[in-house]
Amino acid sequence: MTVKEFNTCVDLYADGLYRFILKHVMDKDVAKDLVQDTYEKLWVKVNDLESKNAKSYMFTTAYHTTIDHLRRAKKSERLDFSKHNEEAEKENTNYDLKGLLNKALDTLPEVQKSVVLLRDYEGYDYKEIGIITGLSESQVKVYIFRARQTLKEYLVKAEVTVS
Amino acid sequence: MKIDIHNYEAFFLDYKEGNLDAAGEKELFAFLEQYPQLKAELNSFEDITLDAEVSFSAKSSLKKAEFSDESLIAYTENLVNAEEKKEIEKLASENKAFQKELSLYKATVLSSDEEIKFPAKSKLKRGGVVIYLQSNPVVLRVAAAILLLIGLFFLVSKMTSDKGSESVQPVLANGDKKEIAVPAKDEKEIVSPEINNNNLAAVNDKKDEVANSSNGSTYIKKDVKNDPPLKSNNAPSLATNTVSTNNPIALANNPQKADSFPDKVSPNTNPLVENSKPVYKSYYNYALDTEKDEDEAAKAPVTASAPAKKTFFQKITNAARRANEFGVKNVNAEESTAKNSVSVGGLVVTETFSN
Repeated sequence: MTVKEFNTCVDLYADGLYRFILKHVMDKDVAKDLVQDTYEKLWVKVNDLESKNAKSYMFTTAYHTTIDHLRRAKKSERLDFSKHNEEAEKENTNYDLKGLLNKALDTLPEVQKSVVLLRDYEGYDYKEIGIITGLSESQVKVYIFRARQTLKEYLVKAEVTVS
Repeated sequence: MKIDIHNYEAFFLDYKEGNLDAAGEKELFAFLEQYPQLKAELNSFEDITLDAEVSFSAKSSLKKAEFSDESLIAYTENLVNAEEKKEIEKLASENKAFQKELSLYKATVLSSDEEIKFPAKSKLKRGGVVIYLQSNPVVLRVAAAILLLIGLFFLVSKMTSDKGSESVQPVLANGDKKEIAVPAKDEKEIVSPEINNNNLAAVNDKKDEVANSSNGSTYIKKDVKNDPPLKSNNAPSLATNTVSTNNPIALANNPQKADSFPDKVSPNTNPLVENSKPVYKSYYNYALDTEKDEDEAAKAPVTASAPAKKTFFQKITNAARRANEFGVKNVNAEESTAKNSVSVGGLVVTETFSN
């Protein structure tokens, strides 16, 4: 991969990575740091990677980096919950369908959240999601199935009207 | 059963529903002849019919979905074939409950928040070029040696230029710069670099550089010895600069304790140098004595006012030789009066002198 291709990767995927990570960590500064970490790791591999594999590599790296971060945060456990909730509330005060879905998304286990985000935001197929998350294709399907059920139940409870 | 005034309604009903046989009908009509007032009742009975078109309007809401959640999710995920898709859509159009269920599943598909953007993309971008290296170890070694050589070249160039500037422009404690010339015979003499308090940080950096090298002082001396003659006519060369203490910079760390420094400074003990003037006892004293030094320097016959400049190849040779001393086996250098040569891997470059 050339420097130009690397910089193109920044233009193409930085926003998507940022969104993906932000939905997990709910903290903009942490999300920025993790995006930066991801690109640092890409830069180290810049000679070994072809540009066509860069997106997959970055989402794989971002996924693992994010999960590691969340595990560490949970382990030290003094995650700033007030900030976390504040962010979540700020995002969903309007309670429209999108807001409700975001809220519902937060109720999902991390792995379910990841597979749904990769599926809906990035349009990955089950196989690709499996490669990124280290799950089998059938596991990915199961998680997506459960996630959609949970999201739907959340919308039903919120008595949201959909057309 | 015989028709009478108490059971005629049953006969009327059977008649209307077509369940009365001929004998029964004959019997019914004979009865009506007896009771003509009941004919009107029979006729009115005809009007009492239920509207067959009336139906339960909410049947669809009672029906259960024929498709499971899995099917609906599969539909949402675009995993169903065309036939299944058609069936689901048909059922959804007929069944409002099913339609609502399907709509809820469709609503679970997240849309990307395009307004969320990474704010500092430019910081992630890189400049420069990427050099592709083959995995051939020989190529890698040669490349590493060349890079090291280039790095050393710049390092040595910087050191040489720094050393030159130190020798000609020591800075006095009061910050004034005085240009001095030190005779070549005082090669072993301690010449202070800058001792201005303002420059202590720079001095400390220098100290680290020297302290990290076990033979720091030797290294610097060697540099001086290997410098080419500054002037060919044996005139005393100027601006030689040698540090003869193992850690000379340490002295500069506490200039306010200058009185205690002299013991730590090695005096000039070179027996070959006759009439060498007393060695400066400390950097501090050196600075104070600079004026006197200037006077002596002024008396010395000066034929060169600046150090001779090394050629590019000489610098390369010098850097290569040092690289070899530092353990880079692929790089070798040889310096002589007749020629200078540098070999990197299998490549040898030689510069010969005509005189």
